[in-house]
Amino acid sequence: MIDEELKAILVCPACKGDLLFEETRIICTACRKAYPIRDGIPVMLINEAEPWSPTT
Amino acid sequence: MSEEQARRVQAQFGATAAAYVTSAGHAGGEDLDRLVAWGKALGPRRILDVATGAGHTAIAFALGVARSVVACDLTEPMLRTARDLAASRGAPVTFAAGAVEKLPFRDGAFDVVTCRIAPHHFSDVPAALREIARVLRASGSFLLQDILGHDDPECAAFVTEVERRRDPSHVRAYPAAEWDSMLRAAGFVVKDEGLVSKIRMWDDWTGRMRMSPEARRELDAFVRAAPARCRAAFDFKLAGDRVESFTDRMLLIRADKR
Repeated sequence: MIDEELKAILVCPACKGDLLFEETRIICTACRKAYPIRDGIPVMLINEAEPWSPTT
Repeated sequence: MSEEQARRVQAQFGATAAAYVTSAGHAGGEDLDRLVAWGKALGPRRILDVATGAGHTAIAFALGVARSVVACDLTEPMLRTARDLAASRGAPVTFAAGAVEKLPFRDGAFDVVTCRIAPHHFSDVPAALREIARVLRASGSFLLQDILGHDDPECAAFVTEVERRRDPSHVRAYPAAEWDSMLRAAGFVVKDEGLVSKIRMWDDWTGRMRMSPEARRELDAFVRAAPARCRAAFDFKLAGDRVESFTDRMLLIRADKR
C-alpha cells in the first residue's frame, strides 16, 4: 500500500510522465514499463522495470 | 549513473546495510545537527532525502523539521533497513527506490532536498544535481554534506585510492571550489557553507565494509608506504605497524535553486 501523498508526486523516472498504480506494480503507459512494488516500496529503477503492454 | 557503477553501489551497500544503522559517523553528530538547523530555519513542508542509506538524515528531518519526508536510495536492502529504523523511531518517512540521476518525482515537488555522505558514490554528479534542481520548487534549498576533496592532487589521489580499496563503489570526493562550479552549472546559488571534522577509527571504518584480512593488510601497507605529507593531510595516526585513525573533513553546503 503506497502512501497517497507519495503517489501524488511519483512519476516515471524515464519520461517523468504520470503513472498508473496497481496492487503490485506501477505502470508508465507512455514508456510501456511496469515498475515493481516490493515489500511495499515502489522500485522506480528503469533497469528493474518489466516491459508492459495494454494486454498484459 | 552508469549501470556498472549502480551495480557496484548495490553490491556494496546491499551486503552491508545493517552496519550503517549503528555506524556512529552516519547516525548523527555535529554535521547532521547543522543540516537539521538549516532545515528548521527554512520551514519546509515536504523534503526529499536522496541516497538515504540507513535513513539517518531522513529520520532526523522527519522528527525535527517537517512531517513529510520522502527517502530515496538505489539499494533495496538499504531501503528496507531504513524503513525498519524509521518505524522504530516513529519517524514519518516514506520510501522509494530510485537513482539520483533519474529521480521518479514531479518537477518542483519538494521544498528541500537533502543528501548526506553520498555524492562520492555518484558516477555523474552534474546529472544528479540537475535532477535535484528539477524536483525542487523555485528558490527551494539543497542541503548537501559530503567528504571534502583535497585541493592537492597527490593527497587527493592517495585518499581516493584508500577509499576505493575499502569500498570499490567510491568514486571521488570534490573540493569546495569544484562543488561551487558544479552547483552553479546546475542552477544553484551557494548560500552557506560549513566544515566539520570526523575522526575515522581505522578498525571500525575498514570493518564496516567487510574487507578480507588480506585486503586489509594490503591497505595498511599502502597507507604506511604513502608519502608522509599525504598521510599528514588526513591526520593519519600510526602505532607501529598499525593504522589507528585518520580524519576526514566534511563539507556542508546550503545551495538554493535560482
